[in-house]
Amino acid sequence: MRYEVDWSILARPELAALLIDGVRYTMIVAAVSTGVSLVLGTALAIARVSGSGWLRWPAELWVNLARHIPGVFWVLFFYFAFPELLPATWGSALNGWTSFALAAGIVALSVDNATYVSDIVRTGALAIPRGEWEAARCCGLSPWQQWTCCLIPVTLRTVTPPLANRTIHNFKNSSLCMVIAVPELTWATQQIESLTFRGIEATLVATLFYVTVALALGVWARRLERGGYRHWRGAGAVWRRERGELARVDSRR
Amino acid sequence: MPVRRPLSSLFALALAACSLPAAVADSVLDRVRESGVVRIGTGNDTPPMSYIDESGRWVGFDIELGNALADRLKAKVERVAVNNKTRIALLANGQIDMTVSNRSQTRSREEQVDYASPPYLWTAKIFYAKQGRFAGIGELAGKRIGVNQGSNAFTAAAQEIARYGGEAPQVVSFQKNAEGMTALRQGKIDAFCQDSPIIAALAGDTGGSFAAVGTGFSPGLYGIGVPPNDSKWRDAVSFALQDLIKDGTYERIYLAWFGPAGRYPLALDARPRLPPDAFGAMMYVWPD
Repeated sequence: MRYEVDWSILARPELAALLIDGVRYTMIVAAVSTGVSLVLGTALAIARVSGSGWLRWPAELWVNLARHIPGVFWVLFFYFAFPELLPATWGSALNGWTSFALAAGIVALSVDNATYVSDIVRTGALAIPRGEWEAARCCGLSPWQQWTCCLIPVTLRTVTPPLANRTIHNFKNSSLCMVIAVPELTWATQQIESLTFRGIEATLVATLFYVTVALALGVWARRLERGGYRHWRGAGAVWRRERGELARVDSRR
Repeated sequence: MPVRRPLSSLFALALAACSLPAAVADSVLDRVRESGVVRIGTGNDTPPMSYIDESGRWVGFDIELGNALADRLKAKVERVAVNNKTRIALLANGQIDMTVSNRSQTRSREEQVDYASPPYLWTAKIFYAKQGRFAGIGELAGKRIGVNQGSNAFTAAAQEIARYGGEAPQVVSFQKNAEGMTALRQGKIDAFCQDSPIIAALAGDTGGSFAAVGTGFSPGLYGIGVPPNDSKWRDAVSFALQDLIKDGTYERIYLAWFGPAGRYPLALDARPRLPPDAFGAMMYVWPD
């Protein structure tokens, strides 16, 4: 008994179309959910390290609850259960929406990933020396400016490697959306297998795609880590001078 | 020798990919006789054909037929859970000895594996939707049609709707029938398309608010799958199946599940039989 690999099936237009569509859906799910979760996760992180208990405790509670929940749960939850929790008219409007599966998948991965992003960003923010926080405050910046101009850029630079890992992870998690019939790449390989009974060829091509994109993300993150974030200007520049000042003072001590 | 464990089958695949010569296989029959064990691939989530009931037991028409076949072959059943997508590959790789898993014979499947004779149940594809929502199949043009991934409904549903002209439907493939039915109830899809006996079971718990759209289409015959190019084994399974038909075992299992007093009575008799006016509607078996 042996499996004869037959690459020609991938040249069949209807099967190639499934793969190409799969790539499209995978990229949409991964890109949008990563973007949303970076923003959401950073907001959660700020809430967790901020002084106000009203912000801190709900965020803390949420993250500690959500990070113990499997990603596939969120996918099934937002697709099957969430519309049932809404008023009937809203629920049936969602269910009737042709792109609901795609939207539910994106929301699910965003929620799932935001939890981990928040942990990463929080760690990075706490790693900023106390003096630098004070420096940011001393520049006369509003809390919003302190974060957006000073603390977030520095934090992001520190946590770029773990964030890149997380992004690669989230990219691969896009395959979870197959369980709610989003025709992404993994779903497409399964569909090709069910039509041709040959799964190896399409799966190998899909794996190659996942590996290539993940490697590219890694390389990009490395470059960002080395030289990125230079474009953050404005009030942050003052703070950067102050930080430089501080570092010099520190070294003289 | 047939591959027994999933891991070693991976190695076998790797070897095949390197184009190394594979060992010449003995007949599965020899191995079954020697070991006294037959590995049967069945689904585990497809009532009424094969599923696990509330008390954790394997039940279903296919389960009982598989057990009876194993008895005939004087072997114990080693049950391997398969789904619509894995059942062909596992057979072709020799990881299971037969499938009794609501599988229609199709040309594309026949190219990969073989079937024992005769086919044991005829079915039709049915569109299932909210009662009264669609007057006929033609109205399903452009609608969202749910199917189970791996079912040939994916192809058949679109083809059938195309016959009526109009916009192509959006076919949505779910991993399980139950998920497709939930999606149907919630209005995420407009109709669900599956084989008639499976629809009969799915309809059981919808309380009559759902119904078939139009009539059944794309007739199919369920057959017992066997690994390709092993006629000794295929004959043994065919003989065993025909013996079950001759001695009334098949009849008993059929009536228990699909007969008028069965668990899921089918409106149309699903036994593939000869014409009633010529042979008294007997099931065909090979003469001696």
